[in-house]
Amino acid sequence: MKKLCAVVLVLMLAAGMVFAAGAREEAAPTIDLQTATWEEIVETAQAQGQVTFYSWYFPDYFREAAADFERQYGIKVNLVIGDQTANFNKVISEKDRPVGTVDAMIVGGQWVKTTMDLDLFYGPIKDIIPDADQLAPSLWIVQEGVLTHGYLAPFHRNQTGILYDPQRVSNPPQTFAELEAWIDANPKLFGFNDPSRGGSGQSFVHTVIKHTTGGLEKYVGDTEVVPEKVANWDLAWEWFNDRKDKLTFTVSNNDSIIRINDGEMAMTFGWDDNVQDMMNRGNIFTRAQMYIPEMGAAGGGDTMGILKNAPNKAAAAVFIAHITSKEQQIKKFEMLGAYPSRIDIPIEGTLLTEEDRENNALAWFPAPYKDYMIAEFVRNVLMTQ
Amino acid sequence: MEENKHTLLHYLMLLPGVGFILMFIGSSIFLTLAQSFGLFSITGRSAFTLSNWAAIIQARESVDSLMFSLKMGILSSIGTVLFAFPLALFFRKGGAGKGMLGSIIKVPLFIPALVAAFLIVNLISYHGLVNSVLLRLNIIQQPMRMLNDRFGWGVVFIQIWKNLPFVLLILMASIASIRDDTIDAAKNLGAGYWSILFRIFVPLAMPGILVSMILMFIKAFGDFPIFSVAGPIYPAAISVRMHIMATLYQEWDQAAVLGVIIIVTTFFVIWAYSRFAELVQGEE
Repeated sequence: MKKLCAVVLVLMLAAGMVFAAGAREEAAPTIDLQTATWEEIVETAQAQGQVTFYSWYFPDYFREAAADFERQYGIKVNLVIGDQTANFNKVISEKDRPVGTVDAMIVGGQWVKTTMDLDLFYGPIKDIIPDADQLAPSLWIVQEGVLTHGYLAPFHRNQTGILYDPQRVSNPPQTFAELEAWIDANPKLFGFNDPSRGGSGQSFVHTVIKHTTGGLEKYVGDTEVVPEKVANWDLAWEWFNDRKDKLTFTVSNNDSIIRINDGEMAMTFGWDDNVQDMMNRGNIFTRAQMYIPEMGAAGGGDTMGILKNAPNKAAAAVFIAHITSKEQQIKKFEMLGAYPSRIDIPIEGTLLTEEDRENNALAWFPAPYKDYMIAEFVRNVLMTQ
Repeated sequence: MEENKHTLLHYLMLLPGVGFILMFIGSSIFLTLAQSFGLFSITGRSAFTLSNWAAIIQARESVDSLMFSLKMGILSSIGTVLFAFPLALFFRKGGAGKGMLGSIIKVPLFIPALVAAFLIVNLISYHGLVNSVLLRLNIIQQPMRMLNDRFGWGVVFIQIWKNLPFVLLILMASIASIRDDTIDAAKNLGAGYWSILFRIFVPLAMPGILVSMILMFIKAFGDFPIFSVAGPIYPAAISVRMHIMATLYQEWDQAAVLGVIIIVTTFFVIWAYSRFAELVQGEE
């Protein structure tokens, strides 16, 4: 019996070693993307033969985009639609490995600071991707207030604005004074989410800070919170505390939209792509309307990056070029209503007008101020409820 | 005699079970503890520091989160046992329809916590069933805003609803072990219903009650989905705060501190339970 067990153990160990040896693959062909021509990059990508791309949303779109890519270039796409946090935990845990397992990924606003601080991405890639100048120029430079220096390619743009039920709001407010008057006249019918649990709530607080503390220009370019510049933010907290009984606080971006649909609220701040997605799924009535008020609302977008230790950098660059191509950006918009990152595509039938975007969209203040804003809002407004 | 000797082979056979616990659970607890002191840092430079602990202990938000989660854990465990105990007594003896009723009561056991939270949220939402019925009955004129109440009653209600069958199973097993002879003897000696309840059923079922309460506390204290859907805007539960610290503020080491606090609190409650159980059972 003992002998039999020993033999089984030895065989299992040997089998494991054989599998481990078999799993070792030959290194993929490489090329210096910064100096190579695009044709050389495509050639190398085809020699690499595969690309591993991570996202946490739009599975239907990415599956179609991957199939199109495989048909066009003959390069296999290993598409992984995972959990957002798990995706980033994976690449962070692999950051010290000379060669990782992920080639490229979607980068959301929540993770851009951490990933840039950790120097996870290869780049800059702005001069590598064809048509890079046709992708939202500001998003190549800054994402959610974090300087990205051309390392992250714009994937799609999103924008916050006021979402309302036209049956209950006949004359939606444009200026900050009009909003104040509307809230006073309609207690509890305007709401927004706790800014620590969603970007639309952050955008509303950002707008209130702009109007109560003297604009946003003074923060531009800061990499740390300057205490003198936030010294008068108590005016913003005072604004909220004075109206606490007239405002509705929700727990997430989706919760705000659901409460509009449910009739509990008539007006809220929301993300255009989120509202469009929920409308497509029937989670909010189609009569709901959205606009960017004259008082301003922040916007941004998601990007894509190539990992510094990606095994197939050339294939990753070609895949990113494919996703940012006109055809794919239009397909994404048609399938999901996600606003293209390209600026050379005329788009109709969106929740927000291009005029609103041009005139009233705000850029976020730098990321350290955003973190500070969220923490101070919790301390000065939510904690004193 | 030879069969009782522990050979190397015996230890090797234990390896899959014990090894798994040591490798994955033990190492993850060790890593969380180390990260709370700045070692094995995920994002920053690794160096021993007490600053993460200082930051968490000094932040009122963290203390509020801990107290809120403790409150929810205690209220949920007491509430579930209070509801489950009479039901366990009711199901002690078989009877017509009790089998079907028992099956219906166990339904929440198979519903994931997140789904359970959404089901209850739908009931108490602005135009949910509760408000609709109250409006129809003219008891209220305007729908009430019951979502994400500040005290956390919604969370307690969902925890009780979701975990009632789980606790019921434990209590039923505990009560089933009480012999009818004991009850009959008490009745013969003149004991009334309340006397039998408090002097026979409760003391004899105490091991089951304590096990139920401790398991319920652990489930409710560290819960994430129910808190995140139905919890108050402020304070966030400690698990939600841990998530916010890691993913929003990117303070992974401080999130690890909160993780350690959850683990230590749970171990402390288990220790307190075992001491209390010994006290109740009169053992050393």
